Parts: sequence; C-alpha cells; structure tokens
Amino acid sequence: MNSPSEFVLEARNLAKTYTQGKWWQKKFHCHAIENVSFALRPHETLALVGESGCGKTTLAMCLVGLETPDSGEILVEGTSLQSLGKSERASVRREIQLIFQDSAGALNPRMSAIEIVEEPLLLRGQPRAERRESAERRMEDVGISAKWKHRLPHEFSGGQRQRLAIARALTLKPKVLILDEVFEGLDLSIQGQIANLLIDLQQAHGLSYICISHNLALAAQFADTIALMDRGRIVEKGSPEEFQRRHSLPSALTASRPEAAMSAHSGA
Amino acid sequence: MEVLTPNQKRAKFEGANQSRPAFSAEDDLLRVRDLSVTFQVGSGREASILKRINFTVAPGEIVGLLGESGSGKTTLALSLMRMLPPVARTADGSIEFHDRNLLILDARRLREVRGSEISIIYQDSDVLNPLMRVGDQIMEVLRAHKKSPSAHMRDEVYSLLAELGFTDCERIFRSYPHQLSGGQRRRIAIGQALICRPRLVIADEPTAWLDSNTSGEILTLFARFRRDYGTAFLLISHDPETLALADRALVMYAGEIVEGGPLNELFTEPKHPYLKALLQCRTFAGELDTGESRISGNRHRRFPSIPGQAPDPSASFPGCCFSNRCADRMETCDSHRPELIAISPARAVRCFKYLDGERA
Repeated sequence: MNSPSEFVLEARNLAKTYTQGKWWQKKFHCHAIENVSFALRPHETLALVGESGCGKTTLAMCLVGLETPDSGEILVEGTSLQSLGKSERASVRREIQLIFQDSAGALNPRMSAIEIVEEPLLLRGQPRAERRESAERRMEDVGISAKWKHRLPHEFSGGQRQRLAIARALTLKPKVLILDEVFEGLDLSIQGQIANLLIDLQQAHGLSYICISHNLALAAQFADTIALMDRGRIVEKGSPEEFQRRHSLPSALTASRPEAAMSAHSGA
Repeated sequence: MEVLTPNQKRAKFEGANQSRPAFSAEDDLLRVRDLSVTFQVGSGREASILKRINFTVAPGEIVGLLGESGSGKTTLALSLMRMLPPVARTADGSIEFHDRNLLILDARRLREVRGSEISIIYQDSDVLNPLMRVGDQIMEVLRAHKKSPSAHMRDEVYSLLAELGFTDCERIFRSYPHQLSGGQRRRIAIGQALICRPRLVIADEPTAWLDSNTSGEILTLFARFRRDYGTAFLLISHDPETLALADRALVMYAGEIVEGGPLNELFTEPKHPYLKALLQCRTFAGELDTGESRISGNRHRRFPSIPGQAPDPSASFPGCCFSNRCADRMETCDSHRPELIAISPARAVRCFKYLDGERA
C-alpha cells in the first residue's frame, strides 16, 4: 500500500497494558494505550492531544523504545522494528529522538552544556574534536552561544534549558523529534520563541514532529494534523481546519481554559 | 525629559474595584510600601530582586499579580509572610497588615498572624507530609491557632473538605497524600491555607501543573470563599488566564511593578509595551486565529514572542528594565528609570511613553 519512503514513522495497532498488584492480590490492568495507529510523513507535525493520563507519554515511550509495546508494530521508514536485530534496531531508533516532559530535570546538573549536547555522540564513539565541533554547531543552531558551553544547566533560564534539550536531541541528526509537552512550564513570552525555533529547525533539517500536548489550542496552532486521544485510544484525527469545522473549535478551545472551566463549574 | 519623583507620580491604585463586598472596611488590609529585597549572590555582591514595590489589598479583594519566571513574584509572596531564605535581605520598605508592620513583628506575634490571618498556598505541590493522614494535616493548622475539642476541629475539617469539593470526606480525611491525585493534593494544601478563615490568602501559582478542569474548580473555590467569608486573595501567576478571577491586577517585570489597574481594562487596553507584547503571545497558547496565516500552513508561520530575555537581576542597569526587549524603545529608556505614572485614577504604568499624559 505505502511505498517504504512515504512515511517516516508509522505505528500500527500499538497496545500497552500495565498490570498492578502482587501475585496474591487481585490484578488491576491499566490499558495505557490500545490499538493506536498513525503515520507520519516527512516534514509533518502531528499533535497528540489529550488530558493527563490518556496515554500520550506512554505512546511516546513506546515509539522511542523506552517501553516495549505488548502488541502492534512500529515502522521506521517502512521497516518494521520487530523484524530487525538488536543492533540494527538501535541504529534505526536513533532516527527518533524524544524531548522529555520536564527538560530541566532531564539535563544532568553536573554536566556542562557542551557535555550534555555531545553525550549522544560519545556513546557512538566519535573522537573528541569532532564531537565538540558538531555539538557547538548544534548549540548555535538552537540559539545558544558557544561561549556559554561550559555553563551548568542551572545557570541557564528555563527557555535556554529547553533549547539545550532540543540541541541534544538534534545531535544524532534524527528524522523524527517527539516533543513531550515542550511548551509546558515556559513563560508565555518564551513559548513563541521555542515554537519559532522548532519551525526553523524543521525547515533546516527536514524534521518531522510529534508534539504531545494537553492544550488543543496550542496544537491547532502548531501542528498539521491533530490526533485526539482519550483513554488510550486515538478517538479523532484531522487537520486543525477539520477540527474547527467539526466542533466549532473556538468553543472547544475556550472550554480548555481555566476561566471557561470556572464558569462551567459555577454554573453547575 | 526628566524623571519624576516617586511622590509626584506614584500610582494610586486605591478605589480601583467596584466588586468589593459591601462589608469591607474602608481602609486597606495590606499595605506594602517601597518594599525592596536583595539576594546575596557570591561574595559581597547583591542582586536586587524586588525594587520598591508599592501596592495595597483591600478586605475581600482579589488582586492578581502577573509576572513571568524570575520577575520576583514568589519572592514577593515569601517576603509578605517573612519567609525569605537566609540569603535574602529586606533592604527597605514596610509591610503593613492591619496597621501592624509585619517586618518588625517579633517571632511569637508573627506566628499568630501566619496561618490564621495571612496564609500562603505554595507553588510546589508536594508540601504535604507523606507520613501523615491529610485530614490530620489540615487539623494541625487549626490546632496551632485555636483551642477547641478535637471532635469540634474534626467537624470543622469535614465541613471544609466538603467545601473544597470532596464528596467522600471520610475517605479523604483518612488518606495519605500518595493515595490522592495531584489535584486532590493541591486542594488539601489549599485547605490548610483556608481552614483558619484567614483574611488574606497568598496563592502562588495555585493552578500550576493542573489540568484546566481542576484549575477551574480551584478558582471557583476562591471566588466562593471571597463571597462567603470576605477573604482577600493575592493571586500570583504567570498566566493571564488564571487571573480571570481578579478585580485588579499588577504586572511585574524584573522585580518592578510595571503596570497596574482593573483587570478587564488592563487586558483589553494594555499600556506598557511588555504587557502588550505578553498579551499578544497569548494567541499562541490561547486563542486560535483563523485568518490566512493558518491556511498558508504552519511551516511558514511565526508565533508572537518577546525576543531576548529578562535582564540579569545581579547586573545593575540605569535604564528601564524592559528596554532591551521593548519594541518602542526611546533614547531615555537606556539611561533613565521610569517611575509609575498614573494615567487614570485606577491605572498606572511605568513607561516614559505616558509621561506627558498622552495615550499613545
């Protein structure tokens, strides 16, 4: 059906269930994601939107290989990860990088900026000079001056730390970047900066994004396709325009804002 | 152009709000005058985090404090409670609460005020003791300030839990923090702050990290408390949406109040370049704009942002703190520091653009 190059990342019927309870206890099964399928084209931005606990982060974890899905397939550029051996799988996985939900917490506080950015290359066994050079270039790419390379993470502001996390994710030149709530916790005036940076990087490096967010308004602004998740399933998919037509999006959007929720509560 | 003296042009924020409950007294509940706080950074160097803050809170009034990270809003909250870390020093000013200067109150009297008359809701969600049942944690606050039989206090806590929107108070009372969800824990922490029916509650980012539904519930709760008990709130947030509840708002930037006035006026007609730019940034996270920009596709879009970043508080700069990011910068902005200029009885703005009374 698809030529191998049409989609850069594809998920088919992914499912992941967490089981709670010791052997003597009653088991509690939590279906974190169920039957999730989507396909991502090159240069596309897909937004996964849903409330907290709907399985967005589990899905991201499965895609980058931090969790193993119970069933289903992940295809990277048409090759199924299940069909590959361990080392091949690892090299394919480099194409997909994750920026964690809490980027400040994801940076090692004892490593300098340049060490953080070059670490993925170190694991790949590149010589030091090359590593430094490409790490510096990545830092410049995200707008952090190379003269700050010896600073520690706590010496950067929140927006700069987010930039550093993006630089680290870019060092291995991935094709897909998974952005797990990258705008959360950033100042309003900085959110736009990061969004503009991500768009510039998308053009410069030909990236595809999976943007995970609980803010539908933000997703509608940023993404080409929105997938709405609820209790582990993708319940709706479409472009922001389609969403708008189907739901009169402005009302759905305003409902996701505290003041509207407030009036809804006081009315009830 | 000359810099005006503070006495000439200091803003009079009083009389700004109409929705104050009728039972409120004329005088202010909290009066902060010229509050300056410095932090020690390194050896001998000091960073000034709050610069001559002036504002008042009337009984039963909800005042919003809008500021981004690093603007000093949490420092302000902590200094009102006199809970600043040891590296901080209150350099100047006074904090009058009910005609008592909190800054010179002795430890015993301060303890009486804290928790029962002014209370604070902390920004971090995990302020609860993991080894204590949450009901007992709320009761602990009550026990510190009141002498009444345990059964009485327990009843009081139950009724508060019901007010906080819990349906099975019995179970919640006996739960440990880890057995509750984030939103529930937040509400318990809010319960601790409200149990003594304080006159003023300082809520530092009360809705941070909560989904919109829970934040709506919490804000509704605040509104109800104001209505039922005449509690005044100082609502601190980085998000203009959270302040929807406030009567009046103050905008902070780099340790200074740059603009203040009634909330609806402030948001419909912002004056200070910072607030203007900040409200424009909302189109990204808040409102969907449906013009051609969307149809042309996201790849060519630019999102509104404020270029650059807030100045380093340890470096002193003679001019306006926003001048390096300001779109309408003038020559004076680099060399002179603007004072708050009253542009109407209820509004003030710290910008040279409004110096001549003209409304640009």
